[in-house]
Amino acid sequence: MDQQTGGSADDDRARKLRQKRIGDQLRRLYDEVTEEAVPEEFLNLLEQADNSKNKQ
Amino acid sequence: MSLVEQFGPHLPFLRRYARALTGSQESGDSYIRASLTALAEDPSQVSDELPARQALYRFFHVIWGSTGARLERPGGAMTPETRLQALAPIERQAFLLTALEGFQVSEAATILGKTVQQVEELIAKAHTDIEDTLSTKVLIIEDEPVIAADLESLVEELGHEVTGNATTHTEAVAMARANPPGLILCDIQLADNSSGIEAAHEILEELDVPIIFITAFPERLLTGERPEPTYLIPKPFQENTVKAAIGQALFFHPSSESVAAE
Repeated sequence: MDQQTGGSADDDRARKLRQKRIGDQLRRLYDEVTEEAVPEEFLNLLEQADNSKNKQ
Repeated sequence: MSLVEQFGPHLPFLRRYARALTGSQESGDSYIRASLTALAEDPSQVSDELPARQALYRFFHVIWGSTGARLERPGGAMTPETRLQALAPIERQAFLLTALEGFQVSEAATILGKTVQQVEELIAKAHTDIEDTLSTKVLIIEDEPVIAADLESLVEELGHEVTGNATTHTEAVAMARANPPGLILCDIQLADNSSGIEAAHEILEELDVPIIFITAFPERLLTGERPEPTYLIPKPFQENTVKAAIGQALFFHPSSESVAAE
């Protein structure tokens, strides 16, 4: 186990908690994007990539 | 397994990441398009040794890093989007990959081609930068001296300036008017039996400012007419909970400075 001073371990924990809260909020802000349908164009490009892979 | 099957399911999340990273969906999508076009031309560029999601993000990183990564100096109101854009690109990536996309630090390191320690440092730096941009003036409305002193020291630890400690409704309104704060910490029951909620309402009529209520009577806020924007912390509070709420309130509230400048 790492021996840390109480202060810096506490600071670290506090920092992690603040990061987590901001992360949760960010996800709420941006999550709607993941509900949208992916543009058809992107899937077509992946299909093209598959085709060129099979030719190689 | 085809690339469509491997990468297709991860595209909605890559779009979320690209949007947060670039500041708009349009711009995010155009970098994804560029990445996928490059992939279609030469599929051997993508790693088949990594788990699919990491491989996809890594490929996107290489394309974005070489063409899109810019340090933006946005004008206008500071929104969460513009705050993110103010981070150095590599910090922004390290921060978003872990905080938004939920990658482990080691996975983010693989995606970015950095060591775990480097990514940890980048995340810490991103966080310090965010807190710096959020540094503001704080008014404390609290009639119990010991609690007010606790709040004052934790606010100062976060690098903010305390403009004053009001103990009544009248004092709170006067202090907010004299020196407009960027954030208010507010108790609900004040010294002369006046109400923190009413003080908050009055201040909000003149000032667009986030308010964090810290109270032993959270039900009063939940049942009554609740001023927005507000955050609620029950007493007795954990210091870390208050610190996290402060970070959150400031990150997600347009800064009063830029609002005033408009």
